[in-house]
Amino acid sequence: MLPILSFRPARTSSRFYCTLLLISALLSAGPGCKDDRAIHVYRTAKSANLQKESGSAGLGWNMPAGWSVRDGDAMRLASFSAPGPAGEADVSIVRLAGDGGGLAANINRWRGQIQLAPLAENTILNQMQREQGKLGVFKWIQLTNPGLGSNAIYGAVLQSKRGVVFVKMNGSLETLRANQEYFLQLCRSITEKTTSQSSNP
Amino acid sequence: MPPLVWKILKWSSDTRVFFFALIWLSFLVIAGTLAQADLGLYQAQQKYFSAWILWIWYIPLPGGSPVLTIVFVGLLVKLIFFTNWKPRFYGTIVVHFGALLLLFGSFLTAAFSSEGAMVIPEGGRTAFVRDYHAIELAITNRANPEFDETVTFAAGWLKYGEVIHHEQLPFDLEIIQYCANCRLERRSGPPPSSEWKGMARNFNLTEIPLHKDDSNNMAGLVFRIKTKANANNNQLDGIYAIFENMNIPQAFKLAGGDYLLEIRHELRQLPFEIELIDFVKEDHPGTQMARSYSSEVNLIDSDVHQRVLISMNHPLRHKGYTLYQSSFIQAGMGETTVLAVVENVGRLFPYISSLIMCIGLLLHLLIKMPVLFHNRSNAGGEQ
Amino acid sequence: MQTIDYRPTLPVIKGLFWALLVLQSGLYTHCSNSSADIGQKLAKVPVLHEGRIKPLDTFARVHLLAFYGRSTLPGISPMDWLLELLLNPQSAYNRPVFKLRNQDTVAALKLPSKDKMVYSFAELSGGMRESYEDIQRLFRLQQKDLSPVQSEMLRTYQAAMVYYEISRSLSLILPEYEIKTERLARELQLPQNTGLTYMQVFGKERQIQNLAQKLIHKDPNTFSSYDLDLLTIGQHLQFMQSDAQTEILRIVPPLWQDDGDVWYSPWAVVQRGRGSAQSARYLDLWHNLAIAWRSQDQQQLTTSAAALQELAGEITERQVNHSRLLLEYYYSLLDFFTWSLVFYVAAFLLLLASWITQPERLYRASWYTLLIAFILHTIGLLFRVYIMERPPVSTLYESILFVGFIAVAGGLYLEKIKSNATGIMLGSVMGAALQFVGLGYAADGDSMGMLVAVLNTNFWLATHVVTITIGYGTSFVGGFLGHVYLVRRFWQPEKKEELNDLYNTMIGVSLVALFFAMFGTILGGIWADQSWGRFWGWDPKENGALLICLWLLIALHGRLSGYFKAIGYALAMVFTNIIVALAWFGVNLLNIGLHSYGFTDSIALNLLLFCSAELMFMAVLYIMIQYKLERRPG
Repeated sequence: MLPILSFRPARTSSRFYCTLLLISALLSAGPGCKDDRAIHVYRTAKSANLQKESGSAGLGWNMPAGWSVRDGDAMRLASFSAPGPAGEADVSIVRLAGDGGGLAANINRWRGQIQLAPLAENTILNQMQREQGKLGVFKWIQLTNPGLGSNAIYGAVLQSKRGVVFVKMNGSLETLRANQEYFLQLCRSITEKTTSQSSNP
Repeated sequence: MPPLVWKILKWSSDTRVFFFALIWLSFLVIAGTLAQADLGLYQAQQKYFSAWILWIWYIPLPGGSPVLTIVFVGLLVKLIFFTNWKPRFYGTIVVHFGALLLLFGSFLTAAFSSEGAMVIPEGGRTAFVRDYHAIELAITNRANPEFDETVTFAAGWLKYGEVIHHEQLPFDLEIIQYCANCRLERRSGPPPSSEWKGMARNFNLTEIPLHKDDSNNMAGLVFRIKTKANANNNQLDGIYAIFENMNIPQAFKLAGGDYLLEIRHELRQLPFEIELIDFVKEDHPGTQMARSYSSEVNLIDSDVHQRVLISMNHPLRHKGYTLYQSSFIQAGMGETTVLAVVENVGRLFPYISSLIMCIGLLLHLLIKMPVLFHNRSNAGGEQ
Repeated sequence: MQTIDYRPTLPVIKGLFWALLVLQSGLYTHCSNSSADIGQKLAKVPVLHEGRIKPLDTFARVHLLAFYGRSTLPGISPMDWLLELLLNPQSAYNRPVFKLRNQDTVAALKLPSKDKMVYSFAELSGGMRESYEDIQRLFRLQQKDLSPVQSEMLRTYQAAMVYYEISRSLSLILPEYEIKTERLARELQLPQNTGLTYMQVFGKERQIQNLAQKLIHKDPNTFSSYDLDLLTIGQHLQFMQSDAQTEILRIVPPLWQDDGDVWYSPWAVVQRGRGSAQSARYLDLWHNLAIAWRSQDQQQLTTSAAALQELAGEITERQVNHSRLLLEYYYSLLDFFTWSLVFYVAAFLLLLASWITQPERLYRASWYTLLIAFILHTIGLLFRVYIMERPPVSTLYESILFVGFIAVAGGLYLEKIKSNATGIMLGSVMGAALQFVGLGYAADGDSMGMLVAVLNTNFWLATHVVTITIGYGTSFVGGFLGHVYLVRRFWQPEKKEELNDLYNTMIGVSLVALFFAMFGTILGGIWADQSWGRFWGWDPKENGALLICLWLLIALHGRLSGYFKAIGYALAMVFTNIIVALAWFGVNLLNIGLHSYGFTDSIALNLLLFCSAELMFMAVLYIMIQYKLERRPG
């Protein structure tokens, strides 16, 4: 048994205050020292690697030969331009969280961009073709509006772990046709970056 | 000493208090472990183990910290006032002392340690560590051709209504919305007023529940810029929105400065630099399963370059920091290593205390052995 | 007074070994396939599979486990099954080998219903062709979103793909072509009317293409037998190209510096130009074996198998550790753990019998039987340590084996000092129970799988993992003693001295358990600190270990503070079993998401059953003891 023993008040009072001091010091130090209102000012060399994550945020791909990277906007993970017989086409990769608002809504938004009327989800699904890529089977669609001249859109919808990835190629139909295989090649090459966390034993 | 205080002291070191504290702690461990399935490790840890108060519905219950504090205080008081220094208790005294040290070390760790990651592509070098969890607002002036000047504000500033004011900045910031995890939504109509600028004109930030895996959370901030009177340019005044890892970051030129506004995971500068020479992943033959991975790095401190191999179970320790091989990224052409960087003052305590506890328990066992495992046949007991 | 004589121990071990060998090899002799000894000859041929070199015999068993759910088929040895699949796929395709577990899956795969739900590849592929679209769709779902039937469908599909890949592994050296017309034979300079292999034909590919070009403009109705012959061989050649990707049967050792330790499959050797004189000879011998197998010529079979065995032996000696391969072969053959289970059960039965009749003799017999079981158990563990070159515990399966080992060792030790049958009881029950659980885990696949990078450290496996597993084992010993105490307290409350002795033992065991659990937990923390920089991260596995320590501390301090008297302490010990089981198995359920799996998963169900049984036991015994106390006050 570990009994509670030795009642010796005469010698304990100094020990008592030491203990009290120690405990209170610890308690005040504990939660108080991580300052969540800190302000830091520092200088860094222009070349410093500031640990920015690349905009691709967990996705990787291979850019088809002949294409070039170009500046996009805040929403895009990447933008490319694809040269072709009838001017350059604009290619973009965008990822939206969850289901991205639904397949039909997004395809219909593209349809709207070349002035096509929205369609029901089933009809759209029937128009889509299937391909096998690194993210599994994905669907893609060719949107053309004969009434509008040559402007057309090729769009692909891929399912990734952190949301839906939309790849869109927009330009004149002739250029798109010339780049169709490259476009699919890009879609097929999109992968989740293989990061491997060390797991616990 | 007043009798009441004495009573409290005696009570706090009572075995029964310890008994119930342990039962509650066990409950917390079970609940916190189960909660990890839904909340993820980090959030569950915050809610159950690090917290002082655990809220279940609207009922406040003691979290992990108060329980460990009670145990610590009890052990301390017991050791100082109520120890029975007889040989047969030596074992338990040593064990209790070891436990005290262990708890003390965990206080230090909880209070003073920090951890983050370094992501370095092959051939790249960096001195910065990105914190796993803490978010900061960073405003960088890029006008000087030699260097960038950065002002950072920790997460405590990012609250609705907070006004950020700093002498190095020619503008004030008023926080309108902060969300630890947000989703971008395209506005259905035009923006409410012409005050909304940049990305905020076309997009809304909507707060969504935190993801289990903290690295999947995307922090976002909506704020109002108000240029200071001496800047002589109020065209920039308006409401802006930024989120983590924007492709085209929010920036503007004002009063001779070129400012970049970012919301990001906290960056800390180390007193040395690391350059990745080569990352090697070795697989079990004929499979895709990693047998080992390692990073060959240059440790650059002042002007001294030193080659070091960091691999699984073989970290690099330097100036109080420890760098571990944590993971890697393989995409496209090159390989990128991810090193975990930890700074922990209390790092040695577990080693010392566990040694003491084990010695104590062994001592206790040896003392008790003859009583507990006596040989009945030798003792002549009946069959 | 009982005394235990150790003298016969050594001869017993030797005798056991031979007895097992005779018993096991006897199992296959009744199914006298013409090629029975061919399989045995080639059992030790080395193959690189799942990251390590293993005997072909293990390769066969692991795949049978995946297809059939057990490592042997009735009526045919694993090696003979594999050889048939490799050398004569067409006949193997009709052998039922895929076992489904669920009638709904049978229906979903559009298969005819059968009592035993064992299907041949021919049947399965017929059904799969029809449900192909569904299966492709399943591949896109996350593991956790799959219903049990769906995941079974996927599993079966994947198993069938692996099966097919194995069956095509040697297709390049199988006689699959035949030229029927003399003209074509002459033009291609190949023999007429004999089996030709891809290896012989593919050099003529260009020539065949050129000849076939001429047929393009010809009306198919006017094709001569020569034309048809040409077309058939051309199509077949193209069909064979799809086999070129088969990589599973890596039997050709690396001969080139830059290959490192990667072995190649026969197809890869040809495709990637990794061939050498030696690999050509090796493949030639396999070809001869295939010819002999198909003709069922016994003498030719024996000679070609012997030649192959000899060359494989040479390869083994040069490339890999020969004794490890040999030991692994015997490890699979002798099946130590199943036999130790048999002996544990026998020891338990003998002990029960000793309470009815012949106490002295049967008690001693039971002791020796337990000892034999323990020795088999130990030999099995030692085999594994030697074959894997790593400490005894690194996977869940191994932890089960090792906890059993510790519990039985504890039982034997207690029996040695107390000689009151409690130890034998403990050892036989725990040994049997854990070996039985282990059998289920052994059925998951190769029990000697490779480890992920972070676990690839013998030092920490040997210290932390072994220590914490000893902690589990000793905790179970304590838990078992708790049961014994409660039962005896109810049946024999008058034996105060013995009960008190048991109580003290229980405390002692829980102190030992606490020591190992705590030491193991702390070592785990130190490993974590060494490996990724934090001593404690509230990770489920760490929490599980912590929980055991906390519970043992609660039990010990509950006793000190007077909350637990003897009965309470015994109840707390029984509860330790629940805590250990949760920390050990429950934690593994968390990782895959308890909420989505529900309790359909068998581990979860068994765990639930175990915990409720223990709780029931505690409640019933407590009530019974209290009731008896009330009826007989004092």
